[in-house]
Amino acid sequence: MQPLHNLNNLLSNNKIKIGLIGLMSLLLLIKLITYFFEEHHLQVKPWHLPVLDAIFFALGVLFFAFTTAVLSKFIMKEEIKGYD
Amino acid sequence: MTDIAIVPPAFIFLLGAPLLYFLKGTAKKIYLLIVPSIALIDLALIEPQTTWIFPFLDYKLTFLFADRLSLVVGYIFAIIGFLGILYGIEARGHEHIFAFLYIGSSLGVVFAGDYFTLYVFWEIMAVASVYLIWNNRTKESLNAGFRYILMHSFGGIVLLAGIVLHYAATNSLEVGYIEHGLPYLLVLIGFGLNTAFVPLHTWLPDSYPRGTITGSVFLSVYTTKTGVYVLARTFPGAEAVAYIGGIMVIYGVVYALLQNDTRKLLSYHIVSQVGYMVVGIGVGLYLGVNGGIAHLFNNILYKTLLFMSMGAVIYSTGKRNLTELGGLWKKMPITAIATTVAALSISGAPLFNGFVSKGMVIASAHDMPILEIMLTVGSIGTFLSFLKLTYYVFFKSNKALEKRDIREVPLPMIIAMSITAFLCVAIGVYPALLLNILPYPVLDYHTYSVEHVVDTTQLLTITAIIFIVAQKYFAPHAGIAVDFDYIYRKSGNGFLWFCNYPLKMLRMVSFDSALKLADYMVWFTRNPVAAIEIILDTITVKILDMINIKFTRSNDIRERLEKRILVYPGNPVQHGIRSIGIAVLLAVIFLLIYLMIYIA
Repeated sequence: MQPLHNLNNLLSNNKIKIGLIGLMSLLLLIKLITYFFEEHHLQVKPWHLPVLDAIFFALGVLFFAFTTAVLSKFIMKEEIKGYD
Repeated sequence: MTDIAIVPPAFIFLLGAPLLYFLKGTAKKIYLLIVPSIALIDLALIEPQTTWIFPFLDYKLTFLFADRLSLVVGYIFAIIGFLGILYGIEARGHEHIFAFLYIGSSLGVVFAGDYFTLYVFWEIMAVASVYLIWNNRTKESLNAGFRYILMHSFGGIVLLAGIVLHYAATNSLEVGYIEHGLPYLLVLIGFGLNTAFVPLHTWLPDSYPRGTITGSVFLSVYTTKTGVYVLARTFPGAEAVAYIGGIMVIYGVVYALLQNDTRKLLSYHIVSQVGYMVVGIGVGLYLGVNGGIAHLFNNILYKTLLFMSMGAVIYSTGKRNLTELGGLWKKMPITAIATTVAALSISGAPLFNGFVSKGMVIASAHDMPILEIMLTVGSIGTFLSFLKLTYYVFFKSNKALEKRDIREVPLPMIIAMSITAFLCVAIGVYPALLLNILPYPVLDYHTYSVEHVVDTTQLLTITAIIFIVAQKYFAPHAGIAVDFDYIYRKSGNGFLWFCNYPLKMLRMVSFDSALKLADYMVWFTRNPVAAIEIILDTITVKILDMINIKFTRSNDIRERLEKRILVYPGNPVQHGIRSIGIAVLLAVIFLLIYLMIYIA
């Protein structure tokens, strides 16, 4: 599959692999710390939770990939007469 | 207070425009830069609460009403006016004259203190801006310009109706809140059309990509932002407006992702970014309005920079579609850097100006979870779009373009892009530059909070990874993405068909009938008595023919009719008393018919 192939290519570079894993771990760690130090952390919404929001962002991207793929089937036209 | 030493900034541009017609060469270029500079100095001297009122008939027209809200919008309008003029200093035709009129009328709207003044400048703005589309001088730009002016004429009429009803209800023309009811709805539609509320937004992605390179830079700034500004004056805290903004955010991004034309992609992003501003204003509160106006300020900078950069790409390559572009970063490095700065700014990356204002808008919607999600998802889509734009224009390999001799744009364009990019970074690095001039004091918001920085970095990183991995799903395709304008065009074509066929036929039939009727009346009035006798005989003959009955007198009637037709009109007065009686009867019948028509 092309996406997996791309992911494999991306992660085959050690510097990128370490950089990405390091950055994501650091972000999650900082979020985790700030989350537990937050005064009313129990009232925080689910998408603000340290791990869930990462999933939420990923889902957001997939939402656009899905929506544009579906919409392009219905509303994308090669040519419409008299439509400039 | 009224300070006569201060001139409404609109007048500087509006009065400065006609002189451009007589200037050429270097003198024109110097003049082009002097006028916006004077306007900037004038604006810098205006203190809040300054007014400039002109008595007219029984009204007081307020050409300058300055407060912190109008001043911050005025500053950015004048700054970008200067940079836009610098960028397009070599523009052809009378573009500069209309650009001045457009900037001037937009400033007129911003500083108008009454609805009458606002409306006049609003209409000048629509007329001046359409020239910037037409001046591209293609069939597409001509058609798009007509559609643009049609939509704005509709919006203008609706707005005028709203203002008149508002005045009738309140006896006040002061720009401010509109009471609920019909005027509220009409004014909201009127302002909403310029603000590109979905589904009234279609004029924007239709016309902005058709404008000239310079024209589109100006178009991307003024019309929608004056709409946002007047919403901030009239509808702050309207929850429905906030949700309209949320829809604009998602709708604009989704359509932007489907585009192949670079400037059409940017145009749909105007809809989306204006959505953020509308959300801020709709949420209200100090943070919401501050966020909306801060986003207006920042958006003007990075959106102008994006239109300048894509204009530069079109200028150098003659190509405007993502599928035809690529590999330009080596040939146009400054444009590539400018686009990257603008892309990071619009995506709200830390250290860029979009980060400052987008955060404020999202924070203001904290108590409205659906809106908050919409705005966050919108941010993801925005970054996706600009990853796509930057990659396909500058970094994806394109052998055909790489072989061509392509160079950077002329120096004035580079200087304008560089200054705009610098301002995007300056506000991102030092937000107080902007926060200190916002309408309300910024007390409970910290731009660079750990949570905000980490959240945004996480969002951008995840989006970038998925874009790289699933790139083929976001690859551009040639084609037309059908929008609401398809419905409008179909309805418009239907209306034209109705005018050209059924209505035209009706006109021809009624015209022919009227002529026949007139002929008949002339024939009848020559000898009404004989005419009635002919009519009666004709009817009798027709009935006899129909029922097919033959009796002895039927041939007599036919002969009499032929004879009467032959001698008609004869002598109308030979029948004496009887003819007068019939004439009176006819007069009474005509009078009755006339009365019936009159009463109906």
